[in-house]
Amino acid sequence: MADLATAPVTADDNRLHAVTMISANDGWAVGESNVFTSTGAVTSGLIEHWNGTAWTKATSPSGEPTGARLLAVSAVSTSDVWAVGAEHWDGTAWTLVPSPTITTNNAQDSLTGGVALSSTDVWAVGQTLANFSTITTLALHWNGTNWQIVSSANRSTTVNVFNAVTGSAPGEPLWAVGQGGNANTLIETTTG
Amino acid sequence: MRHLRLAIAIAAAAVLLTATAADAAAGLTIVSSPNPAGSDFNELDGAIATAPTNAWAVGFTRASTALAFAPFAERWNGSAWRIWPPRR
Repeated sequence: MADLATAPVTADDNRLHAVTMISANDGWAVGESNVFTSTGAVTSGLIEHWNGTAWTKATSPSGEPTGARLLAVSAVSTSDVWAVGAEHWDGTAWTLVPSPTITTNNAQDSLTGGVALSSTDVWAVGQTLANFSTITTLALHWNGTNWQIVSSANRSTTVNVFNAVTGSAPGEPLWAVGQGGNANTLIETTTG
Repeated sequence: MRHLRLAIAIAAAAVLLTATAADAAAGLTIVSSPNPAGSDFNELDGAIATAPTNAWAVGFTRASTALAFAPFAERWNGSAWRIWPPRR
């Protein structure tokens, strides 16, 4: 019989979207918290830590933008963990790490996948609305110093999205997967 | 001796080039990824690579004659992505 671990929360509506385990007693789950108000739901990121026995809610970074949702989490080590979009655990605290501004329209960018291959090789993928007309793939890379936009291709003239990214190790093939137009899978590659 | 110096210079240049490449990540390019036969909607939502010659992507598909979605997976074997399991 498996243990049913209860994840602690305080907001009205809470969702976990992704999980990673560094060891049997060191894991992270990320998602979103929604507080219902008279004018609608206010969304913020939700981070919880597994210590081998229980889940506890972690302190989200200050300055997190309203509406933040965390959709992926990946760890290099116990003191180097990334939540997408762009929050980092250094072993002591979660902090916001600035990601690049997308000039075409930064109101509708979203990051849905991420993988941390090393402390200088971290990837986040998602989508952006280019020129207010075409949804195009979006890929960001962390080189140990900052996040930079990496070029990616599009298969459709309407909707192109990355939903997940993976790689087995730095220097090996990196894969971003999603959809290029409703009818077609989309897989792109580079070297991690 | 001159050849040795040249070899060292080339090696040093290679290290510098490699460092530059690691700093500015190379762009992503499309590779061929199959759609299940007879489908009109396909999406991949999750992926995991365990080795350079082994990766999986999972998602959902809809047959053009159906209303509901069905799960499917494709696998990278080191040279191509193929729907898994393969159709008989």
